[in-house]
Amino acid sequence: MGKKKRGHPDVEELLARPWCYYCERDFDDLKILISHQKAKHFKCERCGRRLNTAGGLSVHMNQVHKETLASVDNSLPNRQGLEVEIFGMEGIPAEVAQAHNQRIIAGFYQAEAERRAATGNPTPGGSANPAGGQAKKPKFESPADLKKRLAEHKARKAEQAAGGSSGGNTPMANSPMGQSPGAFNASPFPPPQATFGATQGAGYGSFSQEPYTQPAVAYQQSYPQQPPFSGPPGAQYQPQYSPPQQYPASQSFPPPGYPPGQSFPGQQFGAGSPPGSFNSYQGPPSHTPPAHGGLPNRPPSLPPAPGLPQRPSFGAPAVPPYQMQQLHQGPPPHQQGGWGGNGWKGQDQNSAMSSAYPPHSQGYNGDYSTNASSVDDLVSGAAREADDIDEIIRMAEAGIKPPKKGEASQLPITAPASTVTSNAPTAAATPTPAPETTDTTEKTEQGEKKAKKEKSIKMIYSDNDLSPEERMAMMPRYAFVPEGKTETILVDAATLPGITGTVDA
Amino acid sequence: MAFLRSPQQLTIGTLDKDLQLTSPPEDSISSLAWSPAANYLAAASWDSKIRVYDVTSSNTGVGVAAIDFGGPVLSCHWSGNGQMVVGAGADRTARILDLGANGAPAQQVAAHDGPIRSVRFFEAPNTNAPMVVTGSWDRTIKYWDLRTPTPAAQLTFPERVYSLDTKKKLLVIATADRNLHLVDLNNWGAVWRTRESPLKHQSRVVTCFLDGSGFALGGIEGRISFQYASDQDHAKSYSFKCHREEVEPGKSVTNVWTINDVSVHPVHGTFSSCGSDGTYQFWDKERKNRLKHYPKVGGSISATSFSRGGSIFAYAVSYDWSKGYAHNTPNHPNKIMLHPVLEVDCQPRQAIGRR
Repeated sequence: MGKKKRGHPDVEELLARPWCYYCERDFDDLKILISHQKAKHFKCERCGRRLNTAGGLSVHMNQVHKETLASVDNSLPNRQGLEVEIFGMEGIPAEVAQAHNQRIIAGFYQAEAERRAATGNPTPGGSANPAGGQAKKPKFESPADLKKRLAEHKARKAEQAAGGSSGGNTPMANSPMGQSPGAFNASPFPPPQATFGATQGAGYGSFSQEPYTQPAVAYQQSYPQQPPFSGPPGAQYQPQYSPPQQYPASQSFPPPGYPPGQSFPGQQFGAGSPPGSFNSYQGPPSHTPPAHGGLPNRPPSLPPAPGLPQRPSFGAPAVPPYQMQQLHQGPPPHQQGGWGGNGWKGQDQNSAMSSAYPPHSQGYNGDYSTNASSVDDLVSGAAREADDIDEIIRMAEAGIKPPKKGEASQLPITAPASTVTSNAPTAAATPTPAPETTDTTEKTEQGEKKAKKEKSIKMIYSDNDLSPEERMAMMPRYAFVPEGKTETILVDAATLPGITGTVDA
Repeated sequence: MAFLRSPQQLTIGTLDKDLQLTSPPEDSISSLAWSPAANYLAAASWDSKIRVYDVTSSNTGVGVAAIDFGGPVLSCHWSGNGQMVVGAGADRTARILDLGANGAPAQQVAAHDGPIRSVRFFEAPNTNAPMVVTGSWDRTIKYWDLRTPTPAAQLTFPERVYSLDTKKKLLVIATADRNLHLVDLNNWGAVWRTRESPLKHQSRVVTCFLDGSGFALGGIEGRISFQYASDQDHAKSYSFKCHREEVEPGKSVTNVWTINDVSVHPVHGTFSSCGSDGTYQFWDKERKNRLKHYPKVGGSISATSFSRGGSIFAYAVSYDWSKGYAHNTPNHPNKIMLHPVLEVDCQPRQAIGRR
């Protein structure tokens, strides 16, 4: 670890801060933590008395108020139980504490990486990346150089697919990747990496941008929220992958319903969409787009060398997607030939590269000047997007910090996990005796104010238009046939408005 | 870890002292009512009868009288002097049995265009003579002077009447459009106030406070609201959730049961609620507390009532159609249980000073 940075605490310091088990907040001091717990979690609502532990509060509620305590107030949904006896930092289960520390570490390095990327400063000890500055500097490379790099990358990928170590050519080989997880807690990392290697071999043989692929794959996996992807582990990916990756992971941590994949490209990198279009054309797994965003280049640990020259081209998203598609679907013969000459096998995963190429090839054929201006725009666009992403990431982190109940709605992207269904099943239809049981999540609106945002309510009797007695009365065996009438009560519209389907307001 | 007492021990009651009433009705019980003069219990049932039991002489009750109807009986009530029982139901009539009349058959006193959902005795404002008010699915309520076959007055509503109750001078009607109509019985010809129900779902039962200053409203969505009638006090009205069940702790599905009946303790003014989840609970509305709750009794509870001294709490376990016809199996219990009420269970709690 180098010298401490002004204003930024160290990892060890962050780890040493006392934190509250119930709500995942950390504090400067143990005393402050304890008084926080007493005030927020161990406080009796009835009389305001502050107890020392959850168990103590439970006993107090029983003895004094003759009420039962079901859960700890103001706590995260998975931390509400009364079984763990927490006082200050004591009593925290070991695995929870470990997970928490990992989160801190991951978050620290991630934030550090972002800061570095945002400022464009060279990494401590010098960057192995000869290309230098990241999103802020346009880089031009002659097409020949590009092709050369492409070939190198392909070779590397082939090696990697074969399980070999990365070539020495480009510094961005897997080694940094391999090291960084090692630096952190190694346990969760190998499995995801292993999967990456496998998938890479499978689908992304000639993909030029390993860093992007892997996050993409990981990203896909994160969707179904596999075990490695519970909130904390999601953060573990951060050091490896671009901040945008972390972003989705952390997003998926609270509301799973949020479809980052769709909005990311739009938000973070326009680059997302054209590659997306490529992908849809080719048919590979669809989550690569976010990976291809130019911003994934940001983590300094990822040698952006091959990616660098392309980054400006990732500004290429500004190019209308149809044009991109055109390039791939029915590219002008000369381009096709040019690419063929590179020995590219498939077009899949070339999206990143491909998107790089059209402008370049045009520039290659024609003038660089036009390219320059467009690249400027693209780069500035990317920079803008970078700021947006920073903002979003901070909000995401902030969104996670406050108590989950109610504050989760701060995240602008929060999507209610369940859909709101209408209240009243139609009684206009034939009055089926079986009332529908629907999941009404109008309760989630009220639930957001409490701690039960994800709860869905199942109403045992949810028919708002007919009372249970009316339903019973419709049954033939209960039907009342007034004397002198031959029709049964079922047909008697005056008695049972439900049958006619009209419910007067 | 510090010791953790089971929090259930103090506020959950036991059912083991509950006695079953002998010869209960043969079909679902829709309503229970205790006589204010003696421990006589009337039970209205879907088997088209009202049965009256004498619980004083025997702990498990002896049937003493019955009223036959043309259709399922949906409601029953006693007159203030305990002499008469009125019942009303799907045959669109209300019938009165005068227990002092030495075996005379029940007289019909009311007629509606639709099944009568609720019937109550009340005292006419000027004469204190007993009168009956009936609320029906034909969207009207009618006041009946027991001597004439035409109603003394009638109020029409935009929607079917689902429940009504009266105490002192307050008459509350809950209709199907989630509206609550308050009538001052001194001026029974007009609706005094109409308010929208605070519950977002169908109203199921209204029960007036002992002093007639407000009422309790229960709905199908596991929620009860205590409402004050007067405009000044209305601000004190509040609602709370109850009769809900988390299927598994921590899982995201909560079963929300209907509230089938709310009864008032005639001495303490505390409330009971019962639901289709098969539990009954006692509540203190002033302290906003749940006093006691009881475990599931093995079937949905469709009706409850406190005896006149509040010493016996009767509840009827029968299918209330909350889950549709499919669940109306012969296996569902159909019985009336008498629960001895401990004083301490139903007393309002003392105010607790702040530390």
